[in-house]
Formats: sequence, structure tokens, C-alpha cells
Amino acid sequence: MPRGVAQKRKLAAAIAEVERILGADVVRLRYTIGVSWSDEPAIFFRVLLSDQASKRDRLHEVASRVEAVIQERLDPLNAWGLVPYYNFRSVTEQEMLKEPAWA
Amino acid sequence: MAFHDDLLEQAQHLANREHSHPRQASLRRAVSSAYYALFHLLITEAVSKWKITGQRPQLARIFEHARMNAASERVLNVRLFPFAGQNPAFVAHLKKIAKTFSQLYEHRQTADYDNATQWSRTEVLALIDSVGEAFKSMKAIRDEPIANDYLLSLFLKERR
Repeated sequence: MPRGVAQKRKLAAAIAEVERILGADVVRLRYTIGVSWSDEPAIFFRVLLSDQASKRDRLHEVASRVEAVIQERLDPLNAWGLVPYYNFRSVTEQEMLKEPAWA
Repeated sequence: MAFHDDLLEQAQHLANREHSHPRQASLRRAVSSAYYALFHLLITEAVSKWKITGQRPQLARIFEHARMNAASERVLNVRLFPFAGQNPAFVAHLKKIAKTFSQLYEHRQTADYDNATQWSRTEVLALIDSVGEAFKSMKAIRDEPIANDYLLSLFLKERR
């Protein structure tokens, strides 16, 4: 069993710590542990970005930084046995889509 | 332009097709096109190593999505691939390519088959951007042994 599944509380604490580091561009960091389409244990991050951070000229830089921080601080695959996947959404988009998983 | 470049441009076109309220169909097809852009880039690079140019299209047909994804995920596993003594810049480029393939492989399946998932333009553009960066990384290491080994692993059956 992957460590990320066996030690969910520790993983949650580690993710909360990462969320604190990410700064104002990231409004919320949510996640679900599950399996990928390849049936591998996985963690699906849902990153809610500020509208400013989601603008076309900033999106790539912000998304890359978020993934790099999560990789460096958490290393989901090698430290927790979970393949990480990322989705990014702006506050305005979430207000339109109103998905509870992103709230 | 090469087919993979056209696919990446098509992905961008689809993601931006509707001005204010993007259709789910446009966003989902954009994700799929972005995945296939990288899929075909990697195949093109791999078969370009084969000297007999007339046989390259036949060779390109042996590539399988799942095997390519498994090879990409292995590259990201530090126990399997510690890359000790390798040029860190080349390793970073290779990991970017492998990680992007793994991400797009997963997201493409969701985009193509999962009708419950709602996509936003931001997440689609972030994925397309990452494929664009993977294209640049491939260009940076295409003649390096580390890239050749990866490209070979994309179609070789893993031996246990």
C-alpha cells in the first residue's frame, strides 16, 4: 500500500504546509487520492488560482512554480507512492462552474 | 509545419475558440489534441533514428499509448532512474518531457471518456503550455544519449 494511502493524516499535514508556502497566487489547494486511468495510485491536485495569476501572461509561470514547489516539498511519487496530477482553475471560473470539489 | 506542430496549434485554437463561455467540446478536444501533439512528436523523434526513411511510417505504428506512459512514469521514479553522474540540465529536460507525457496521458483519457468532468479554459491552457515547454525540452536534448535511451524505452517491452 502506498505511504500516501497508509498515512493519510501525515500527507494532509504535509500538503497543508505546502499550501501555506504557495502564497497569494493560490487561493486554495484541494486534492483527492484515487487511481489513475492506468490503475496506479494517484493524487489529483485541484489548484484554485487568483484571477490575476490565471491571466495568460502569468499562467505558465504560476502553474510551473506550484508544481515545482509540490514536487520539491512533497515529491508525491517517490515519497508517498502517488503519481501526481494537476488541474488549475481561476476563481471566476469556479464561480461559474460551482463545483463542490473545488470549494 | 510538422504534424505535431499542427496539433499543438489546433489545441490552442480550440481552447480559445469561444470568447467568453468555452464549450466543453472545444476544451476536451483541445486537451486531446495537445496530448496527440506530444505523442506524435515523441514518435517522430524516435523513428528519426531509423536510417531507412521509407520504413519510418511503418515503425511509427508499433508505438502504444500505455507503454509510452509506463516508460515515462519509470523515468520519474528516482529508485529506478537515479540519473547519477548525468548532466542535471539534460535530466531536467527529460523529466519535463516524461512528466508532461504522464500528465497529458491521464488528462486525455478524462477529456475523451469522462462526461462528468467539467473543464475550465485555465486548466486546458496550462496543459497546452506544458506541452509547448516539453517540445522545447525535446529540441534541447534530442541528440543526447539520455534522450535516445528514453525514446527507445517508449516502444521496447519492459523486461523484468
